[in-house]
Amino acid sequence: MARTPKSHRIAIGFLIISGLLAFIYIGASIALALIITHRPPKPITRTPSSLGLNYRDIIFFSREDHILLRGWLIPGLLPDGRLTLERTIIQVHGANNNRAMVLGMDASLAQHGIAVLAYDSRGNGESAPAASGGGYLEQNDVLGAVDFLRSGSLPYPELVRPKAIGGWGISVGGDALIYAAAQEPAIKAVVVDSAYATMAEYMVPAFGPYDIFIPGTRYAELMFYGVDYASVRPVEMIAKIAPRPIFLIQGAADTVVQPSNMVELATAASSAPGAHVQTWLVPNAHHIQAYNLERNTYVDRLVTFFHTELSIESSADSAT
Amino acid sequence: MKRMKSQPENKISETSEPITDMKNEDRRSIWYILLLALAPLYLLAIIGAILVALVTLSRHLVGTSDFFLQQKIYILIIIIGMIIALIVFTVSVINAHRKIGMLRQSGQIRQANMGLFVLTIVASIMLLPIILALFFH
Repeated sequence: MARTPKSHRIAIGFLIISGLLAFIYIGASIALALIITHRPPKPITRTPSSLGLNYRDIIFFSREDHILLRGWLIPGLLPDGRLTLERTIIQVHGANNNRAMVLGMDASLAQHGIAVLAYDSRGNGESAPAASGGGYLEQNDVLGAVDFLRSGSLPYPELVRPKAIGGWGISVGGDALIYAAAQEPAIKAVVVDSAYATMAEYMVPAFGPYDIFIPGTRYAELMFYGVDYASVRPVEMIAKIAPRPIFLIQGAADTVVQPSNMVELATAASSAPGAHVQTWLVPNAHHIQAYNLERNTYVDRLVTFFHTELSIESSADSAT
Repeated sequence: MKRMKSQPENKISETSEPITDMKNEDRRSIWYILLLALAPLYLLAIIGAILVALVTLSRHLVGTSDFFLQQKIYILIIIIGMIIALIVFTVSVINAHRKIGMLRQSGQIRQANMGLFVLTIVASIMLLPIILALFFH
């Protein structure tokens, strides 16, 4: 029997190696897509009562896809000791975290008369398991919280329903808030901390040395959850929030979401007619660490912003 | 004279049929080689399309009501699909390797070389997405 020529062996060898590499790439991309969209939820170890706050557990559903979400409603405390929900902030935490993420900040806001609705985003904390959408799918959670505040069964029937709703979102929570506020005029003022301008910019540092799997994972996510992460671009939505005010906060030493993201978001937001944008680049702050590094200043600026921008009188008609 | 005239006509009619047959045979062998060497690619493409359709269908059927059930269905579809794809790929490569070898042994060197060329193209196409991912992510 004639010996197989070298060219034949090379072609078959090349085909086998290419095939194996393609299988490994596709398999790894699919596995990554399944892993990154749902990690074991971080347990809630503290409640607002640990800081002496009055609060009630709440349950509501995300808008459109009706995912069950659990949270706390923490009323604001007025100087005369009365509780209030008139100014309420929807607090949106970041990836792989939960509603207890910034409990200290919630306490500070409540003590300044600002109520907080803190909830676990889909797939996090005690909310129903669901795929994480890097802020894109989570916009429905924010909108669900707005619906709950406007027409849900609030656990404080004795208190007046919120007259002005604001939002504070961090990291991917900030992006969820941008998407939600862009389509929901009931959100009157927005604070966004450490949010990315485009998902692509967030994916590269998130994947680190495995960034070769980004395109494969992107298509796997599109197949599994119908979301094309390359098209998730909050920078293209933020201008729609105007003329409602936006306050952008960013850590200067952030390597996960580079400070350039805030510049892109601020530039895009300012391009809208009547835009009202303020920014704060916090020196030496790493990703989502601005509050931990500058607690007092952070709370002061937030309180000032929300007290100024969430005018109860002018919002009363539109929010109820 | 009659003989002299009829002879060339007969010769023409005798030789024209084998030429047509050869052309048809060439065409048939080109299609055969293409079908054979492209098999690892188009069979995988068909399996891939079926997998995407099944995943999309299950996404719409299960929805977001039961996330873990949805994940289990995805994993099941993907694992079974990958195993089938791996088997189909292996069989189609072995088949192409064997048949191209047979063509070479039967003296059809041109066809065998064409088969190898197409197989190399198939291998390059399979590798292309990874190379693109390496540079354009």
